[in-house]
Amino acid sequence: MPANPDFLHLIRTVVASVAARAGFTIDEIEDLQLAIDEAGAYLLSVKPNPVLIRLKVLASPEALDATVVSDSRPDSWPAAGAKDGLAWKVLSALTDEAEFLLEDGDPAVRIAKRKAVSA
Amino acid sequence: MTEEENSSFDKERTRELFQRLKEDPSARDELVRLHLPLVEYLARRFRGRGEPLDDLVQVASLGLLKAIDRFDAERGVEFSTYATPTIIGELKRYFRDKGWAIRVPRRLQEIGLQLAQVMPDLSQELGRSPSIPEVAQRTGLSEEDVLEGINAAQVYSLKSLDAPVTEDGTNSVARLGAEDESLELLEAWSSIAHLLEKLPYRERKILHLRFVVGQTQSQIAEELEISQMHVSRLLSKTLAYLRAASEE
Repeated sequence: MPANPDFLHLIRTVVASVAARAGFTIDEIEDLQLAIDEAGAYLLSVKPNPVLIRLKVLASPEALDATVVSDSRPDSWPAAGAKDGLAWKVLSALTDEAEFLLEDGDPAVRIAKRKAVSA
Repeated sequence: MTEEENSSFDKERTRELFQRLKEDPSARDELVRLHLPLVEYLARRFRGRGEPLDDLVQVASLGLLKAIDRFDAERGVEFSTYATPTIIGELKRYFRDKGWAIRVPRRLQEIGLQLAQVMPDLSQELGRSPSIPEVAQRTGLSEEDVLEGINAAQVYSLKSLDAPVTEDGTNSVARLGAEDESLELLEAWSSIAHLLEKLPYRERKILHLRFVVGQTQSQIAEELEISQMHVSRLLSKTLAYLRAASEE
């Protein structure tokens, strides 16, 4: 989808929808929404600005794994000091796993959250 | 100074300030000042839900103060790592206590009403936050409608006071038979007397009927000729206000 703040809402909705279907609790869904929003917003802020972003969501009975991938080509990824930044604080506070990674050369942010109670 | 250098400078400064915190009250102010960017950043993540940013920053600042008071520097965790979830928790709680702050379409309001009726019971039965399919099954709504209703309305605000959940995550079921939170409140009654005076008449009346006379929310609703949900909302709001104001 277009790398535009308006579309972050769509990402949030998709993640919430999948998480709901997978049986996450409402609290957990709220955390996932905030986290994916953060991941998306972070990628949109990367220079040069991305044109398109992709969302991958994998739901298993125990966990949800979501990755936002950007088509930007920054000089370095993750940026130096990325893990000292505020975005990282938010991501790691809300999820069980968070990472900055390269997906086939594309900068990406992955988050994962495990269900506290398996349905 | 680059952001990176800035950040490691802040970390050291924070450590130093926490060491001084016991003897030097000004260290607390300095800690607050140092972490205002974090507060503002987190508050901004909650924009677009119909609340002015200033209010959100206030709420987030309250979270920061709590985090400063509770932080144990000995544990070897960065303060900001500890403070982030505390502040986010404060913001989330604020929206739950808020009720219908945003105008939502009538259909969603009706869904919200239905959800408000079943969610407290369901949370209590399960002893945790329910999942969407569980709520859908109970209400007979589709999962999409439930999800939409929750997103639109933050219906948590309507969680009944009869099913309190403490901040340390103790669930309602674990608290059955335990000391009622309202008793503690009564004990502290004298210390908040001056705050009560500032409350509007109706809010004071509700507190009186609930905790002094001991009426249920439904009885109060009948007496005041408003809905039980409205009573619940007013109660949560009033108690949250008193709690916050008395902690200051």
